[in-house]
Amino acid sequence: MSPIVIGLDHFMALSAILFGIGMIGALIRRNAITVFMSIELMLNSVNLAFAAFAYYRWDTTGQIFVFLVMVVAACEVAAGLAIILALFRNKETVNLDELNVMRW
Amino acid sequence: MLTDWIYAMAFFLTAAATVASALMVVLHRNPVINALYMVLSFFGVAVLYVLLESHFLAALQVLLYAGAVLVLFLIIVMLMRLDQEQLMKVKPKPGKALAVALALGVILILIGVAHSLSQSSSRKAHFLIQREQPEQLAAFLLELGEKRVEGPARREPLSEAEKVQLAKQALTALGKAETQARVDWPEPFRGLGPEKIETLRKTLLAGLNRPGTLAQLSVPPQFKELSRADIAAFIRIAARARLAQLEEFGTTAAVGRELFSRYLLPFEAASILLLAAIVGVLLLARRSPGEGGSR
Repeated sequence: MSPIVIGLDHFMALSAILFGIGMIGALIRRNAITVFMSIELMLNSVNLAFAAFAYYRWDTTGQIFVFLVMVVAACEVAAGLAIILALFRNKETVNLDELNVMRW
Repeated sequence: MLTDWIYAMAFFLTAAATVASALMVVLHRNPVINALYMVLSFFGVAVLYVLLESHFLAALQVLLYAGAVLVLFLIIVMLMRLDQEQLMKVKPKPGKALAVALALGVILILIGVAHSLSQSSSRKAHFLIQREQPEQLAAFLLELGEKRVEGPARREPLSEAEKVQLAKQALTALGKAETQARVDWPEPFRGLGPEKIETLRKTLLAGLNRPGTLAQLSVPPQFKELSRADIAAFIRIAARARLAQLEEFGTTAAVGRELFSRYLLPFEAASILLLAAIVGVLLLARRSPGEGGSR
């Protein structure tokens, strides 16, 4: 039997599936924190695609991009969670359907 | 080959675990459970980075996501004291079916694009370059008369076409500045100077693109002072530099070298972004003076 050789398309398919799951979460969940986690999942799937391209082309540039995406994701998590915390202090909820005003 | 089977098994097991925990992040109602499954899926991605020989990224992934981001999420979830009742009464959004259909469509389109790119042979040459094998290059170097090579060499003998292909890849890589920086030219190449070395490289590459074996490659007419042995030495130097570069891929040294040379400006911009994020988060999370007290 010929061995299964894992190629770039396997990693791209996995990355697409993870991105889709993250997208479903971001669209159907109402809890702001879970929506945030779903966005992190999507960022991770994109990172995986970058790393796969870097590996199959022997090019370090893809890894630099992953590094920069990780920095942006870290900033985004910190700022986003601070915003959610500030919202919770004022409205006592993290349900996105109830957070429908920009000021109060 | 056994290694291919092990690699495939590792890939599919990790992929299944990652997808399953990603699904739990989306489907479970308790945010604490969500956060823990999210970390499991991040660990899965870290293992995939190891399979992709991106060791530096795997370490970063565990440190940054499994460490910092998990702690941040858990602290925020626990600060909010979301009681179970409040969580349970949240019903699914009305457009749920539409959202799932949309996401499935996105998945199918992305997989379709990836599949068609890897299938069409005309694009494969340009877009999905066949991955170079360090083992092959090591075997090539041994055949060229190198005494000792780093890394394992392939067992089977190389065909003439493979040799020409490997020589072409090595000479192409030598055209890049980061490969050239690794080479310490011996005589007689040192006397030629960088410009003539570049001309020699291009001429040899053009010679290899014509049909024929590596042994038929002749000394370019404008380099009369060089012998056939010198040409072989030139190709050996190029292959050695390429092998060193391939072996270094994914290590902290390789990523750091790129990060602090070609990508220095994005790196500095990222540091400013981090600074801005720190200041912004402190401002956002601070209780306003009038509010005071505990909640």
